[in-house]
Amino acid sequence: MINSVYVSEYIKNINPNIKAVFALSVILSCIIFKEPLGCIFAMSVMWVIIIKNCRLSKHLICHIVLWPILFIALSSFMVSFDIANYRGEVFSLKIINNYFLTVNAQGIKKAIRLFFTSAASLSTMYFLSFTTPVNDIVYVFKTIKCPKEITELFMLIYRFIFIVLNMAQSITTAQNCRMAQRTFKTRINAMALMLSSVFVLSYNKSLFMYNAMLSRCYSGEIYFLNQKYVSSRKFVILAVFIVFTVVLISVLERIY
Amino acid sequence: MDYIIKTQDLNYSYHNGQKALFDVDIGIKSGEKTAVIGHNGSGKSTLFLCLNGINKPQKGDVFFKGKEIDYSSKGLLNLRRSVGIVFQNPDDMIFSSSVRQDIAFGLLNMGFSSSQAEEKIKSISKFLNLENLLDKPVHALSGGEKKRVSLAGVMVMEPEVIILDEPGAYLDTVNAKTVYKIIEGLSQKGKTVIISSHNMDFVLNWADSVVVLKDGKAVFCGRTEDLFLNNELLKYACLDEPQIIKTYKMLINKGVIKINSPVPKNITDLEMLIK
Ligand SMILES: Nc1ncnc2c1ncn2[C@@H]1O[C@H](COP(=O)(O)OP(=O)(O)OP(=O)(O)O)[C@@H](O)[C@H]1O
Ligand SMILES: [Mg+2]
Repeated sequence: MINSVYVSEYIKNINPNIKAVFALSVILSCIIFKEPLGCIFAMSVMWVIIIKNCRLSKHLICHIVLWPILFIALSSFMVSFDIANYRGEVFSLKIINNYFLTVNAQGIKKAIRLFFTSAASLSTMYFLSFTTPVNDIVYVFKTIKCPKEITELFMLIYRFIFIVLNMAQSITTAQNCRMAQRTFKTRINAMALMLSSVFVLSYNKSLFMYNAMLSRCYSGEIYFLNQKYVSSRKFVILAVFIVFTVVLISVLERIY
Repeated sequence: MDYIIKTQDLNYSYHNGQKALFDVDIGIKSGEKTAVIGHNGSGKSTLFLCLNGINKPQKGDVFFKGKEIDYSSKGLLNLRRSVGIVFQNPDDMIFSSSVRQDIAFGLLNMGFSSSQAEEKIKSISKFLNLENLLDKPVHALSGGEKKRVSLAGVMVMEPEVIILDEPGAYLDTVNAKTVYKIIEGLSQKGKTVIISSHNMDFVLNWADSVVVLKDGKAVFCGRTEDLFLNNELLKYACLDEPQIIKTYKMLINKGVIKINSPVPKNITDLEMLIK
């Protein structure tokens, strides 16, 4: 899904190493400082870049934003709770004898920080995955001198995930056409059948794929096309500026 | 002889003991259009994998240009440069993340540099009408697009012999026509093209010679006309008679055309005969 969205040529052609370093430093500065304002800034910048450069449908945006945000919010909310032997400042619930389930101002602060840090990191990861096709990620692997085996493995697994998912989906559809959803029992049964046949089929598939690789002169090593990227100075300056601003906002926030 | 590929007493069984080929003796002439036909499970795909050196026969030999296949890794690489195979199911053939990278796979393995590969990819994608798919990830392609990409990946290596396992499978009529046109272009370039197909009308029209497999045995290897006039053989091998041949026989019976008139390959030929 992420790979089928339109991405502007400009951002796609920027050297993926620059994009990766940029994304990583934004995430790092968010995590190190954990200051909500800095994170909010980082988050909004990322979404401005994404929306300006990728043609995403509203439906897709809702889908990819809403669920993770909900999840992050929920888990951050859980963090704000604490168990203590004194009454909390904001909320407390007696469990046994002297122990209370409490919520303190401290806990709320912690939760808010956690929420914004994760949301900002998530947005940055979205930026990276929307603007960088897998091939470019392979390129990043190559520049950081990742062992060849890992790069190849990554690529094949990436391809395989889609094949297996497709298989699982079509089997499930075929089962549903034959009333697999009728009762809870038939549903469980169908699922077990589906999983086991996906397992066998994907083994078979991998043999076929290996044959196909052999037939095209594969001899133990996959070579990758060199890609030409532009090292846009404008983007580098913008990136440095954004990272700097995130750090600055966080530092200022911490001081005051 | 000018057989580019020949097999002798070829026997192949799969690891699970399933015997798939028995004493197959066939010869394929250089530059000819050959169709391999037979019922489902008759061993067509297995035979193709033997011709490319992927299945190593337990007994018998495969000859390429008069020489026995050398099953050392270097010999196999050499063979696979000259004999390309496009699988039945394109999903088995495409394993890279983007179309461009996938088409480049064979070229880079053959030792071309990235820039040389790019050049070749450009021209093949123009030929196969894939230009605007090049940077797409492969899982976002339709069945017909995948088929064309898998064709491109083999054609770009420019092998002398191209084997296509059911090239019409998964394609709508428009795309099937394009693919058949591409195949026609290959034979015009002097390549040896081998196809498996279940479409008898197509085989009659297209093929110079035919190999018929039944239960893993080669029961016929010869001219296309000779096969389709042989009713008993067709019945024995569970094959359909093409419509054109049926009409041709009927017209002979009714005395509309002469008994020894040449066998028509398509509607146009038949029309000419009647005139
Ligand atoms: N990987 C395998 N393992 C075991 N047996 C196999 C394997 N692949 C094929 N066979 C068996 O070998 C025989 C020949 O199969 P093959 O795939 O060559 O037939 P085919 O002529 O290509 O059929 P189709 O027209 O359906 O493509 C069949 O009986 C099949 O069951
Ligand atoms: Mg087959």
